[in-house]
Amino acid sequence: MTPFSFEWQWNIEYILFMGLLYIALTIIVCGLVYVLVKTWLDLPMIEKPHDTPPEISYRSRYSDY
Amino acid sequence: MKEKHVPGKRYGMIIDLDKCTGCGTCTIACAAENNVSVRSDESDKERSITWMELFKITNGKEFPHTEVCYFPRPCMHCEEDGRGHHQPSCVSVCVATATKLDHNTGIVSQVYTRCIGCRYCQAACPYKARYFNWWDAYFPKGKGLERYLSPEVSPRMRGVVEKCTFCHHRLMRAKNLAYAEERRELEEDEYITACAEACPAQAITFGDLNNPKHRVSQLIKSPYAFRLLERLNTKPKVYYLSNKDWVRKLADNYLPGEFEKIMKLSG
Amino acid sequence: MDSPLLPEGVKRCSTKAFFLWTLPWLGLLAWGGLSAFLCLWKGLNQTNMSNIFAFALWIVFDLAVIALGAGAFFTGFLTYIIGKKELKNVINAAVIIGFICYSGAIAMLGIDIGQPIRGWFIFWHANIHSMLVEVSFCITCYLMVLAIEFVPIILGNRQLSKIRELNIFGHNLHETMAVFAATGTFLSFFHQGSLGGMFGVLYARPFAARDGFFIWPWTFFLFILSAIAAGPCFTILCTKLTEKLSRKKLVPDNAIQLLAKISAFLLSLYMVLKIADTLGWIYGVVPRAGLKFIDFYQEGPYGVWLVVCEIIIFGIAPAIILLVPKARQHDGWLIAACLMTCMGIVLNRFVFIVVTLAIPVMPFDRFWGYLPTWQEWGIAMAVIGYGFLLFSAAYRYLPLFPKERELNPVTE
Repeated sequence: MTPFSFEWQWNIEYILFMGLLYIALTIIVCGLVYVLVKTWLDLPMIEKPHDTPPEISYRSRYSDY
Repeated sequence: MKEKHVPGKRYGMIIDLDKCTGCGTCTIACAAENNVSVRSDESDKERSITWMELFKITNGKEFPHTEVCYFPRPCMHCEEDGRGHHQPSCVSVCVATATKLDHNTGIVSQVYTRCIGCRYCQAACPYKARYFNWWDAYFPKGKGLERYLSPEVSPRMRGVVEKCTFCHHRLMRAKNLAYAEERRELEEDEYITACAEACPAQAITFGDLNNPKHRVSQLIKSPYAFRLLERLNTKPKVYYLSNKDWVRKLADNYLPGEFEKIMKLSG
Repeated sequence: MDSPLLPEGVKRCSTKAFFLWTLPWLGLLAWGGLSAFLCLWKGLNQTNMSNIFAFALWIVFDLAVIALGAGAFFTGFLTYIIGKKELKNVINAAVIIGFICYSGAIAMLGIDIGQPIRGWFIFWHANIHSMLVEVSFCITCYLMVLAIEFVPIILGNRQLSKIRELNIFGHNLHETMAVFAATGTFLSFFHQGSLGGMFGVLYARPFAARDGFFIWPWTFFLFILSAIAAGPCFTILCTKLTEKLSRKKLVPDNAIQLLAKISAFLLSLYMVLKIADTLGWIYGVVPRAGLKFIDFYQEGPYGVWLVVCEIIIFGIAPAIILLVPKARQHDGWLIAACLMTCMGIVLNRFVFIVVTLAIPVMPFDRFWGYLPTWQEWGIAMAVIGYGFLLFSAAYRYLPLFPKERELNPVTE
């Protein structure tokens, strides 16, 4: 039910009940959106496998030459 | 729950149990008027639909002291839920706002197309006045019943709850007539329920409880008038009348010593 | 055959054995499927519900599984909000049990209503004064939360966790879990309460009616308390059953003991309040309605034994067992006490639903009996079958118990 439904009454009971419900739904949706966005932002970060040696440039590896 | 009762019409009825012969005409008239679905086996009383149900009560004494009384029970069209909230028990629990107390008429309506069939209202009603459609609506063909169906009342689909509406469509009809005749008020007998009209003993009186001129509002002032399960505070608009103490006692629960007999006739 | 899907470093039975194990549960599901089809196709006349027993076996099952599934939100609350680290070893199982209970309950409710296609009316045409609306809103939202909590566990599967995107998503979801757990706690608090409120507000039914605080009858608070007392017990029972069946230790004792201890205190508090509520009802609501306590227990099979069972045998007795450290550390006593607590809660829900409706309010009305049909049992049993299937599959394919590998090193 929304404030646009014809059953809606502008009194404290309706505002409290539906308000709390919509807050809970908003938190769930915002939480999910946050996780999705964070996942999307984390994707470009290349995870390096632990057993392979760190990649360093040829020049820095042989800095003496 | 803030909805306050505004003085207006409060339709109600009073049933004189001392006049009732238990003939069952009210039940039949109600069913015919309101297109109540039937079943091939109506003996299954737990699932049959009888908006106006007739209970038989006895004083529990052995012959020849046995007394019998018939107790017709329509929907009580309660005004409160028992805790002072201005809506009946069934209305306050209904999940989909499918049942409402109309504060302009006092009638508790049931919107069949809105009801989802959760049956919480049935659990809330202590009078068992609400009936669920366990089957599809059925009117035996070829037996003439279909010719009696009223076009003014919608038949109910399977899976919804129905109950007595105080023949609400008759109020609509009377109002339309009054409007056409440019009248603002209805006459007392212009709107009465099918059960009240059909009762051969004239045991049922129907009218506006708020209108002091209506017989019903005078009859409820009788010391012998009472309501069913009155101490639950559901404020029913259906009253009963009986000068038999044992009948009045059986209409409610009393702890030992609580029930007071009426010793003198007043008026 | 399905070995690539099994978690690494743990032992599982053969695919064939697992398939055979699922057969009875699939059988229950098939029975339930047929029953559901008949109820939806032919209507609720397939049940033995009536105008007297408007609520029956399904609602008892619903309320029972929702109370038993309370372990999910309460363990989540203790783990993520209070910070009880040891419960991380049991939270996955608790979440899955909760998911099974809530999804099963909602599916049953979908069949229980006479017009299932109109189910959305509850949300769109809501009567906010109805406790059942609060229940519907909160259990639906909470099921969403449970699904969100379930996702990281599913993504922990050996093959799924290899997909980097899903892995990161699962990890991030897990990191944010406190937010969902808090929302779940809020939602659960209200729907557990409203389930109690549903019956406490039946003011015209003196057997169920209760006084209360503000808009909430006492049953509102008692149902919350009983659910959070019994929920952890049910989680313990499921864990112990899995341990017995897999012949392995899966959860460290400290997690189980902590749950049992918390349950003990909550159950004790619940029993004190339940006794106070019963006395308040006997000396308040009942005489106001012109009745005596004994009037409610005179017809049919519902005698005073119900009160004795609910309060003493399935209430005080398990509370004492769980309160005594030596007793709850003994596996047999622990399981017995948990079982008794769960039975007590189921009995409590049964009493509030079936007995409330069975006892006539009008003095001249008669007592009616009720026995469920095979269709009703079918749907109820299907929830059990579904629960066993989902939990077994989760145990087999997902890292359900984080300490399993540590507690059961595989020796080649």
